[in-house]
Amino acid sequence: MKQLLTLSLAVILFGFTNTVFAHEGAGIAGGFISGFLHPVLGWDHVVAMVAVGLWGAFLGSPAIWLLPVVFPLVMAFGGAIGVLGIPIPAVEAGIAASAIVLGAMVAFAVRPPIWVAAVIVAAFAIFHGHAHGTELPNAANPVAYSVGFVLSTGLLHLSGIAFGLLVRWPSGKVAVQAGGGVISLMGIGFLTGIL
Amino acid sequence: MKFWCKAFYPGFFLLIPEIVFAHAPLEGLGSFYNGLLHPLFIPAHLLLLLALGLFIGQKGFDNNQSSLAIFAIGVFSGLILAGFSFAVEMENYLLAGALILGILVALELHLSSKWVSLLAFSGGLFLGMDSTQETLFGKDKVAALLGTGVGLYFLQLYPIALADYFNKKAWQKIGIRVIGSWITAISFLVLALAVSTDI
Repeated sequence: MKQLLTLSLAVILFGFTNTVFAHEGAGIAGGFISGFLHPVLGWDHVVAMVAVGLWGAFLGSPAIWLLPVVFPLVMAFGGAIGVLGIPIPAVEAGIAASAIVLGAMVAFAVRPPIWVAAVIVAAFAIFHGHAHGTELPNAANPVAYSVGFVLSTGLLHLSGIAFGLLVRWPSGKVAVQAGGGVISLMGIGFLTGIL
Repeated sequence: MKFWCKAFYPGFFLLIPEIVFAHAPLEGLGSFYNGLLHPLFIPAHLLLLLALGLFIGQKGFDNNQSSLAIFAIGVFSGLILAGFSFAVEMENYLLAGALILGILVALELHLSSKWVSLLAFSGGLFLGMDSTQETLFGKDKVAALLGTGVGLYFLQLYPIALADYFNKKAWQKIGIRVIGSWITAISFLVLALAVSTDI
C-alpha cells in the first residue's frame, strides 16, 4: 500500500509540470521572431533580397517600387506551394541562382524592360517563398510567423533600395555595381557549396 | 484508507488545471480593459484592421468619413452576435478579408464610396464576431465586449490616419502599396496553411 501511495504521489507530481520553453519560438512573439529571423539568418536569402532592392533602385522608377511589390506577392504563391507540400525541384539551387542572376544584373548594369525584370524577380521569388512556406506549418503562430518573415523580407529589400540610391553619384554607381558583383560571387559560392 | 485515497486523488488532479484564457488576456486588468486590449493579442485582427484602415485612408478620409461610422456599426453588430454566441470561428474570414483589402491597397484601385462602406461594415462585422468571450458571463462579458468595440474602433483610426497623411507624395503612396502587398502575402500564406490542414 505504501509503495502504491509513493507511486501515485510521483505520478501526481508529474502532472504539475509545465512546459519548459528554452528560447523556444512559442506564442505570438516567438512565431514573429522565428519568422523574422528566417530570411535574415540565411545568407542566400539575405543577398538575394538585397539584390532585388538594389536592382529596383538601379533601374529607377517604376521598378524601384514595382519589384518590391511583385516579390512578396509571388513569394506568397511559392510559399503556398510549400505549405501544401507540393515539391519544387532544386529549391536551394534556385535560391543560389537568384543571387547569381540578380547580382549580375546589377553588376553589368542590365536594364531590361520593366516587365522582363518583374518576371525574372517573380520566378526567383517562388523558390524563396517555397523555402519559407515549408517552415510555416511548424511555426508556433502561423500568422505571426508570416508577418515576421514578410516584414523581414521587405526590410531587406529596403536595405537594397537604400544602398542602390547611391547610383545618383558616379562613385556611388561604381559601389552599387561592385555590390552586385559581390552578391553574384556569393551566389556562386552558395551554388558550389563553398559558402 | 482506500476511501481517503479515492477522495485524495481527484482533489489533487483538480489542482492541476490552469485557467484557460482565449487569446491570453492580462490578469488583474478587469473585463473592460481586457476587452479593449483583446484585438492587440490576435495577429489576424491586427492584419485586417491594418488592411481596412490603409484602404480607407488611401481613398482619402475626407471622401469616406461615413465609412468609420459604418465600421463601428459593423463592429457592434458583430459583438452583439458574439455576445449571443452566434459567432463561429472567423479567423479564415478575417484573413480572406485582409487578402482582398491588401490586393485593393497594393493595386490602388479606385472604388466608389458605397464599396468602401460595404467593406468597412463587413470588416467590422467579422472582427466583432471573432471577439467572443466564452469564459465570461453577465456584466463581465458585456464589459469585455464593449471594451473590444472601443479598442477596435480606436485601433482602426491609426492606419486610416497613416494612409490619409502619407497620401501626398509619390514615395508615400508607394510605401502604402508595398504594405498592401505584404498584407496580401501574409494572408495568402496563412490561408494556404488553413486549406492544407483541412485537406
